[in-house]
Amino acid sequence: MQHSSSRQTDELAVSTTLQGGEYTISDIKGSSNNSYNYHAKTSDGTSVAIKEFFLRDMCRREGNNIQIPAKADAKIFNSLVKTFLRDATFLTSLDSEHLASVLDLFEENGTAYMVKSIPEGELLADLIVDPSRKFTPKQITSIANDLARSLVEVHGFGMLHRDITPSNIMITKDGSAVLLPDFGTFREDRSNASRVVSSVLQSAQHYAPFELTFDDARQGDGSDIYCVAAVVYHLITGEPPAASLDRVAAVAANDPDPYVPLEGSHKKFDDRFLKAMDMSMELFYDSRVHSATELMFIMSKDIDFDETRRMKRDVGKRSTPLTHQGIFIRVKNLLLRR
Amino acid sequence: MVWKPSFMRTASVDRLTPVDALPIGTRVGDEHEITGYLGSGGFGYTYLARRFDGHHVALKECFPFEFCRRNGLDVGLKAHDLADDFEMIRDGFQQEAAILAEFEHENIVAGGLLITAFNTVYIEMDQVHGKPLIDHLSSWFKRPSRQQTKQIGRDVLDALETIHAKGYLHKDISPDNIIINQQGVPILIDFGSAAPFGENSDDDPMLVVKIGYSPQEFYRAGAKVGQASDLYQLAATLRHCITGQRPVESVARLHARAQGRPDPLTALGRKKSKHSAFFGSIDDSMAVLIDDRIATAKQWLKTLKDI
Ligand SMILES: Nc1ncnc2c1ncn2[C@@H]1O[C@H](COP(=O)(O)OP(=O)(O)OP(=O)(O)O)[C@@H](O)[C@H]1O
Ligand SMILES: [Mg+2]
Repeated sequence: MQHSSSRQTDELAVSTTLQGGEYTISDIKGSSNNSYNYHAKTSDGTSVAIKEFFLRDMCRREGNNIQIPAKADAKIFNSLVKTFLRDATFLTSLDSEHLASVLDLFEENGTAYMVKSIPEGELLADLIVDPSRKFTPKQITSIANDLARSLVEVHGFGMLHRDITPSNIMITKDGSAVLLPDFGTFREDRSNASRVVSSVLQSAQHYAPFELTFDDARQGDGSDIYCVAAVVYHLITGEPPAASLDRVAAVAANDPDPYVPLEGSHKKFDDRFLKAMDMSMELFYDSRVHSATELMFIMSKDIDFDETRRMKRDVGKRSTPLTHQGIFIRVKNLLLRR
Repeated sequence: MVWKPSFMRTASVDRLTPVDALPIGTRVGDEHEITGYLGSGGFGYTYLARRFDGHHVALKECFPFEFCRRNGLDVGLKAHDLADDFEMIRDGFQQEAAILAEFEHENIVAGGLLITAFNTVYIEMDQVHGKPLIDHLSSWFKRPSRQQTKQIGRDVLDALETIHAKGYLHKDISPDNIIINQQGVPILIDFGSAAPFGENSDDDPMLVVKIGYSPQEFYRAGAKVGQASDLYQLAATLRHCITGQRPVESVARLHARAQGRPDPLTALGRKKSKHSAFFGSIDDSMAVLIDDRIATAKQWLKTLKDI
């Protein structure tokens, strides 16, 4: 058994360089099941965050390289790296207020790296568990709008985020929400029926709709929308909504859906807004709000629901926007583009 | 509370190659020396070892691939922030050893002595000579006959009756956790998921499921589980022996049911044959909802004895 020098974990060591010296790792941050996270300095001294694609269950580190003992795994891994790099290229060209931009994307050591500016602010995951930090209805509504807007961007490029949780949302000093990109496009292959596969499910599945965790069902823009609404739900009520799997189980057993609707029970919020969240958390994909643009419409104060539904149908034909001119034009462009 | 991605996978059995296994000749504790390699699951390697008294035994090492790497001979962490996860799994291993030690049954592997070494723990067991059932399912000519399948069912049910009588659920009955020994007798191994009866505790940080075999209630923290949960897994295992295919994942069936779609798992007992009573009992133990299943091992065993 060969082991490189004094490495104690599979993370890259501090002062390791990447991209021929462009980045020097300065700090090792948290890990997840699909990434190791670092802080680094660029050659001109700027601090950046670097995410390294590393699937803990199949990858090992050998020197700085990623090694995959099983051939079948190596094939899967390499194609995930390629897909990720292809899909995420658009993130580098993005300049959006509500979506953390990606500064650089590259392949090295047999895997993919994503370089991001270190966003200033606090993770919603930390704020949401802190009882001394209360969000006002106005702040919550604005976070919902920010997230919806970032989804318009992501979905506009034909991508899904797939992993929207409070730990992928940053709240900046001025209170706006920024969605952090992740290796969320990573999808595992659960279909191979000839293998025995054990899975470890972790708690906190409250934000994801059924189809994101168990991909036997159709996924789409509505899947990300469910997550956003679930995060907003948590902010409004102080608790995440009932887990989608528990909801599916209840409905399957002819019991009432344990989801407690927001509409009508939070006086400080506009009922239209609450109803928009409820509609975004419809259990089954087909009855759910279908697009981020639709979500933006139905959330906004001055637009009538039925009007919006109708408008969505013939949005391409309409020439004069209703109230929210800016948004409307953008929606129209997006709808036409897709 | 830590927010983590909702879904992780541990590598499947056939994907693991023993690159990180202890080398042959390694002394583990004071009494054992590694002499070979028996297999691996998601949570570590199982070695063949010679005990100081000359006996050969199986040693199951706690080395969860998702969290661990080898530093020399010691078990280390893949990432610096995984210490708590590893500790939790290691505690689970100690519980596994303690539970295993409680049983003395023809169809349950004997063992349960715990050994501490290399920053991890090992469980000593008798070596079972034979092959895991999963190895018999890869092609139709190796698959057990209907009669053999029924016998596997009876034997495992007998073991389950004992396990349940002591107040435990096995919770991981599957074709890789049953070894068919040289006499053709099924031996249940792997008590890594076994737990006292009751609900999945709400703060259970990890739910381990096996796709195709785990009933839907194993996917939900706080859901009601019971003897019928183990019966679902046995039924899924027997069904795999009969059809040659891993059954449809339980949560996909649950989803279909909630939406009013037909069950994606077709009933075995629909076709008339001399096995339809046996097949029907498999269907009955694989009902999506726990309350619709055959309730106890005793009850199912009784039906199987009559047919
Ligand atoms: N007593 C034994 N005799 C022979 N082979 C064994 C024995 N115990 C385990 N094995 C082999 O090792 C493999 C893995 O063992 P086991 O199922 O106990 O571990 P695991 O799947 O990692 O555990 P868990 O399901 O708790 O994570 C088995 O499939 C089998 O091939
Ligand atoms: Mg096993």
